[in-house]
Amino acid sequence: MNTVALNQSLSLTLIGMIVLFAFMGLLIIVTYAFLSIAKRIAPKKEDAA
Amino acid sequence: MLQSVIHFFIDGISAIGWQEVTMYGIGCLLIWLAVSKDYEPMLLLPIGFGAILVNLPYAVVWEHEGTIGVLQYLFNAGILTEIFPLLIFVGVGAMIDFRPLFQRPWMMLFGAAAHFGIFLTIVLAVVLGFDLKEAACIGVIGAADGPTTIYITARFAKHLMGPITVVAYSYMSLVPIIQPPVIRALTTKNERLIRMRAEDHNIPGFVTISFPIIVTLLASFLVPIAAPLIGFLMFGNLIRECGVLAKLSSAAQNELSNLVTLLLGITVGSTMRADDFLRWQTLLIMALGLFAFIFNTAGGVLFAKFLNLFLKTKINPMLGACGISAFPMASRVIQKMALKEDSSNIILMHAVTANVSGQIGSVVAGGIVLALVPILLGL
Repeated sequence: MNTVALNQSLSLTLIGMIVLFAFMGLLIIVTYAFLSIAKRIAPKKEDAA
Repeated sequence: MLQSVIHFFIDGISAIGWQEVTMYGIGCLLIWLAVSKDYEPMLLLPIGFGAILVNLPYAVVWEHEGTIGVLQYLFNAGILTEIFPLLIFVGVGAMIDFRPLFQRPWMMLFGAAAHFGIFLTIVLAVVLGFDLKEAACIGVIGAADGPTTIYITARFAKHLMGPITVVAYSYMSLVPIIQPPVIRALTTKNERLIRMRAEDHNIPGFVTISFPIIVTLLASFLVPIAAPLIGFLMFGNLIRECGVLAKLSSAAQNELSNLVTLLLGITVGSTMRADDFLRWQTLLIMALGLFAFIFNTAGGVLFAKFLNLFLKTKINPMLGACGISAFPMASRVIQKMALKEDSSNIILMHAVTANVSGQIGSVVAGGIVLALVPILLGL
């Protein structure tokens, strides 16, 4: 077994999953932020109407 | 003269051996699976026929007397340049509706968890003797994302394009068979009976329009090499959501998707030359591809169960299995399983949410693999 390649694949697993979860977490935060902005704009538009 | 005439007629037949005949059988099998079993017919039929064409005497469709043939031309123009999978992504993006995702954005976590199997499969492939680049291409099969798989394989392991693509699309069509036993093994009946609360918020237009732009920016800042993949997917989605490009959206979903799929299929089939395909490695790739699918499903389910340890309102753990990119098949499978346990338990919209997040997750996971493998090899 190629120990170097095994270590590389294990590093890929660890870093890959961390980065993937971090990205999805960031996307979740950004999405919630947009949705809360949308909620604030929506009542103001209804008042204007 | 007579000898020349006889030689002319038997020249073709005498040029083929048992390997080529085996490939004709495999090509016919793929065509049969496509036609009789309805297993991803849009890809498997052209792949099957391409496999037959490229194994005909002297593989004239690939190369003849120093001149490249039509299928090699398409391969060079569409696969080596990565244009075909990217154009398909425009069509895929135009077909995705992210609105369910905006109803419950937290479910994007399943789009990450359900790709754990990719990385686990890479480790296993390395243990079994593949190098890191080949292992990466094999691992990505588990994402159930054909264009991403083809994109990465074109970069890292062109020589495995045939088996990897056939395995990827075959297993994608087998999601309704692969996922349920894995889910049943990892969940209890009570867990499968958990109901999910319905939500229905109004999503304003600027959110659906800005989302594809934001995702493209964020993904490309984090993983620049993923820009073509995520960019083309989100471009297709933007065309759909902007509301002023109905014709382009329709063309992307229909004409563009269908045309490129047709060319992609037959071109991928042309990589299935007998001497490249008929190796023990192909069997290993089949086994590892199945492993990747199983562990992606397991990763999503186990993550949901992990979250349930901390949540008051429990999540139905079957939803974790929807975090793969096989849309809408995975969400239909999970809804069917839920209805089997309780005929009034409707969790389809939650399943669709996880499934849609899986489509983003698979592309980002692919980009991460593209970015990290060269870095790790260079260390």
